[in-house]
Amino acid sequence: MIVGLALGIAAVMPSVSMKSKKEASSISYSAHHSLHDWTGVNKDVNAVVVLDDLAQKVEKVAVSALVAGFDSENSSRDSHALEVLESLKYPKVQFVSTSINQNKEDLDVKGNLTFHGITKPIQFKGKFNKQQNGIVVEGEFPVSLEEYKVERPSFMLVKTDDLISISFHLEFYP
Amino acid sequence: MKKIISIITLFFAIFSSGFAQDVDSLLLTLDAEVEEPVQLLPDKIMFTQRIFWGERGLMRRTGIMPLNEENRMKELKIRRTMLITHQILGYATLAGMIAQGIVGGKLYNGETQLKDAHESLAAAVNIGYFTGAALSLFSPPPLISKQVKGLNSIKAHKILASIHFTAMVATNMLAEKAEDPKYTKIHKAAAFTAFGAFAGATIVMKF
Repeated sequence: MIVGLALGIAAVMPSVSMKSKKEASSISYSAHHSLHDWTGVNKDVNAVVVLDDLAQKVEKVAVSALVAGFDSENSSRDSHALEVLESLKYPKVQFVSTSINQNKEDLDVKGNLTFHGITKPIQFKGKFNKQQNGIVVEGEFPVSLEEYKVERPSFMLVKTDDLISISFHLEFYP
Repeated sequence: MKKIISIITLFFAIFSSGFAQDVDSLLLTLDAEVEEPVQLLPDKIMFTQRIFWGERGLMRRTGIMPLNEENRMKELKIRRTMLITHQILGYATLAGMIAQGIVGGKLYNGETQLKDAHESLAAAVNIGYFTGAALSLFSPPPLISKQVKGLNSIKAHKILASIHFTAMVATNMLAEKAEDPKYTKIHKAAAFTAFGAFAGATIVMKF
């Protein structure tokens, strides 16, 4: 009975889920070509975090965004990106965490990234910051285009680098 | 008493399980909140592209390529092949223009035996140039066409394209009269304008 009571009380520890604040959240990618570097930013990100409110620890996070939402301030380049990402067939990029280890502000995140219709496990470091009414989660991780079977865009017959860097800044409020 | 505590415990356990399930389903259904793009064609399409690939373009009216998602994916592959060929032809044409500049310069300085070579090179440059232009002008439209503020590489490329296109047409129109000293300099100036704008349009794409 005591064990049952303990389990019951433990189970109702105050986990809260919060959605990302769109106007303050963004995901961006940075890519490199031998002739130039560029960054595309998506400010229309849908994300949800589950937070252990008492321990102030992130338990789960899920993120979803449209690939068409990335803007590199060059319509031709963005259009080319949508072509190689086959955005009509695979319109979204998604991430769902499978485990998160948190040591104060440092996050060690494992999860599944779905990109170009392929889901692969990834692991990366992130930062957690408590704000007055919510939290900020940010970080960066590399993605190999070829691992996700994305045909690398080429310019002047030279392909872009295989690795792109994805960085994110997500603000969550109840 | 024991019974009451057990009931409370059971209630807590059921309630918490339901809450966890809600959270999981929230994670899984987050995706549903992202709106799907449905637009197959951009709002703005070049008129040369609209003739063939617009909503009521020739490819749609003839039933060769009805406007749907599957066909748009095929069109984007066609577009990429056309644009890569446009690039390759562009480099070849630029090389031809440089050669033409050397030959034309010598011809201008009195080496009249180079007239045939100059004309042959002109034909090759024209074929490369106008084929390359057609590949870009008549390619299927992109998925999106954003209006970006300020000058960027693609805007500069298009501005320079309108300059070198006009200059190329002028160069050709003046070619027949180029032997008349009155027109020789104008023909040369038009040719150099075409070359300068064309080289600029190639280089500017790297930024």
